[in-house]
Amino acid sequence: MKKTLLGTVVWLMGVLLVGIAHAGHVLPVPEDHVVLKVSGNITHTNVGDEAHFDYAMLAELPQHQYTTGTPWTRLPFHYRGPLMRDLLAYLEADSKHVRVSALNGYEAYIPIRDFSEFDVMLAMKRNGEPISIREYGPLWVLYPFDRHTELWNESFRSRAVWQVMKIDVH
Amino acid sequence: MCTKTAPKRQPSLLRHPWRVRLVAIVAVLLFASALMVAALAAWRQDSLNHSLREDTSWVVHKLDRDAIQLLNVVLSTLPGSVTEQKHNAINLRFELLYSRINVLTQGEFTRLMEQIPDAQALVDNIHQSLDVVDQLIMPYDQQSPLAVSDIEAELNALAQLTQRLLVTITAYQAEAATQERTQLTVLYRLLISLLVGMSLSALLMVIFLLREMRASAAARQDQEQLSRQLKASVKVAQSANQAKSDFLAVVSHEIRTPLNGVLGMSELLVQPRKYSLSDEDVRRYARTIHGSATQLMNMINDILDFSKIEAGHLTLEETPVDLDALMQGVFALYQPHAQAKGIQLDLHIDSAAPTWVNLDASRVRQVLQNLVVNALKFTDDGQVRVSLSGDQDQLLFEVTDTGCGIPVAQQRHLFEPFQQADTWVTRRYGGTGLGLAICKRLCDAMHGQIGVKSQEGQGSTFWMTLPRVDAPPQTLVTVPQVQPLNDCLVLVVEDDIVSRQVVEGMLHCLGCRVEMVENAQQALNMIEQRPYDIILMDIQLPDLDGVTLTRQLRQQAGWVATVPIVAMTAGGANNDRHRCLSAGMNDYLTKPLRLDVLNQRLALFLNIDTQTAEHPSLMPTPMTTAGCSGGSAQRQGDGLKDAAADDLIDNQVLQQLEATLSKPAFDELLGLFLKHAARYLEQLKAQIAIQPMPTQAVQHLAHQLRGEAASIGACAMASAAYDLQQAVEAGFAIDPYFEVLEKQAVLTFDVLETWQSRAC
Repeated sequence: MKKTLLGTVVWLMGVLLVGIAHAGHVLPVPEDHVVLKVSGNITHTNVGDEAHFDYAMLAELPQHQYTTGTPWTRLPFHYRGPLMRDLLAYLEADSKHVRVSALNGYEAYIPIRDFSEFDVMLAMKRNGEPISIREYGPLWVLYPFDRHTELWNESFRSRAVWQVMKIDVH
Repeated sequence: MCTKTAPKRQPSLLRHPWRVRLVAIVAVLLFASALMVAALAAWRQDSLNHSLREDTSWVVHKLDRDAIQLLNVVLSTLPGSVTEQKHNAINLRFELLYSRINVLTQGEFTRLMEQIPDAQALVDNIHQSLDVVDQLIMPYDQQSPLAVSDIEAELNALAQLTQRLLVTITAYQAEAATQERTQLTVLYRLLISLLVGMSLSALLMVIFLLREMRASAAARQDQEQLSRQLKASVKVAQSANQAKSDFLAVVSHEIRTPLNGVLGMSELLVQPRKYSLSDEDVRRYARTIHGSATQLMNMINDILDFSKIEAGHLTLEETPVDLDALMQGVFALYQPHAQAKGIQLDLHIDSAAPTWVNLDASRVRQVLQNLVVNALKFTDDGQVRVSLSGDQDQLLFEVTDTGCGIPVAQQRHLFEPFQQADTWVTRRYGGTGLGLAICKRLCDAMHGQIGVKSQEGQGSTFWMTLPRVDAPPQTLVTVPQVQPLNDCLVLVVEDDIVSRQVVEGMLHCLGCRVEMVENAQQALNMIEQRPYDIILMDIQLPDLDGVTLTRQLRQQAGWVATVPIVAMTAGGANNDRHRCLSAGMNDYLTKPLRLDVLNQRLALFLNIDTQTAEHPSLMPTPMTTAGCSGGSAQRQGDGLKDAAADDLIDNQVLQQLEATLSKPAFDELLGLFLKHAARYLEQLKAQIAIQPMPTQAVQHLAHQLRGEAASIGACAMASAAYDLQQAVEAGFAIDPYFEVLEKQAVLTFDVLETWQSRAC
């Protein structure tokens, strides 16, 4: 009897702790104007059932960086930004695909597998500077093209969406 | 054949390899080229150029669209009333538009742009135009009044540029696609040609290889066949050798038994004894020696006969034969012997059996005689029955006895050489064990079968079947073909009276005038007096032999040098004929003379056209239907024979004589012969008894007897006389020969007396 009671207490405490840990990062509400909206099958939201990010919020995520060329830039640049997998993990997204939409109306489906297989970055900075829209900014789903030659084909090129505005997890 | 073709076929492998090699090289080259072309085509199709062009198209299209959209947004904006939102929207659109031109000027598209004429310039113009617009559109907080009309004007120009770029790119795209397709078509065509070429050379190679394979297979087959043949020959040779060895071993063994008898008895005779042998003992020993020697002789005869058959020297002479007469002959031959032994010998001829058939009479008789002799030998009392029956297809000869019978186990070995039912049989009855083996082989040669049905103690039936080939009944009188040779004058030189009568009768029958002389001297006298159309001459004349006489005549001048001279002889050594012809004789006739042959020859030499003259030949006419010469020739090798294998009498000769001569003359001739023959035999007996034997006298007597016997067709007697003659010449003991001669004489006399009585 005692034991059962003790077990129940321990269990309740465990659940409570996990809950706190889970809610460890409460997604803050963006203060600046929103650069990215993430919707769909995600755990953490801040506006409705979407997670909205301003530039600073994204900059606070763990940053990754590498230098690479792309099919659309003749010279290699140094890019910096959170990895897509980190972003999705941060939001505890659960899906096989994401649909990425751009400012110019372009859309692409990207399998989540890509993000674990390659260091796909949501590039925010080029050579230390924020990327302008005309230079494919402000956000760019960037594949490390120079590190993996197999990325130089149509299918990956179509997934490297620039001028990203929205990510739909589903 | 194999040895010829094999070396011819084999080198074809070596002769043609350049062909195969060439085709193989071509095929490999074609294959490599095809691979290259295929790779090229695949690479072309795979190349990024293609997708790059499409992407460029897309980007340019978007550029154009974005420019027009921006223009539309600007157009929908009234100057002076630009809200911040509107401004930002215009700004965003411009940024997006700008990013498009960046794509074209920064990325891998630049490479393509450089290739397209005008495109680069257009892109540069667009870039400049955008830069102009960029100056006009500042962020909202930096520039409050938007120079809408300026922007509009600039954007209009920009839209035209983007339009032109789009057209240019599209045109290039179309051209490039066409060009690519053309190239690909060429490549595919090349590829197909290469593949076809490759297939062709592969096909050629397969054909060549198949041909080579076939050739080598054929060569191998030839080799195999050759080796099979060689193996077979080796086997045959080995088995023949083995058979020979076996034969020798058995023969030696068989010969030793009677030889032991001879040696043992003779040893008893020559051994010095304390007491002298009685006459009776000596005779007994001598009889044993005689018996053993006779057995030995019989055995050797059988062996010779058998080996002759085995050596394949057996030739069959199938002639129309009177089966009744044949059976009667066999029956008559052994009837006395059977009677003497107290056995009843029966002859039964089924009414269904044909009378005239085609077969080799002497061989059939040989088999029958052998069977009858066996039956008589193994039957101590009771009867022996000889029967003939037949159906549509075959003739069935049976010899049934009431003798001791043969165990079943031994029946199947009976017809193998040197097999007798039991060894005690040999001891008790003698014999070589070859008789039935000879019968078997003769039967096989005549396409017949031979066998035995027997039960021990119940007697035996030996049977023989022969295929039945009916023959038309032979006319007994063979005179019709005779062409009268009227008025020709013939001189006959013949010392023997019987022969003389025969010739005279025949020549008269042919219408010739005949003059007869008995010796060479008389002949010479006659020839001096008048010319003759033809001379017939016996070879052995009392004073001079015919060959020498001919030689003398031929050396004379006048008609004698060319007159046809024909030898008449009882037959004998083959070189007789050669001697005669080389001495200048024109032909050589063997006794018994036959009317048709005589007629044909005379007609030939007297230049009278007859039916038969279409076969002019100096060869003695083969005795196909009658005659003793065949038997005589055979007898040379056979030596002594207990049972005559040949015709006792050549019925045809007698028939012809009967038909040619008048009946009294025929009877007289037979009577004369019987008298002479009996006398000759008596004289012979007397001469033989003299020690030492007067060989010449004996030979002469034998010759005379032979000549007469041959003249009237008493073949068996003639043969026996000839054998005697030969035995004397060879220095053999002649008693057995004389015995045979006497036996034949008795048989012959019997038959001739029947003829005589029939003639009456």
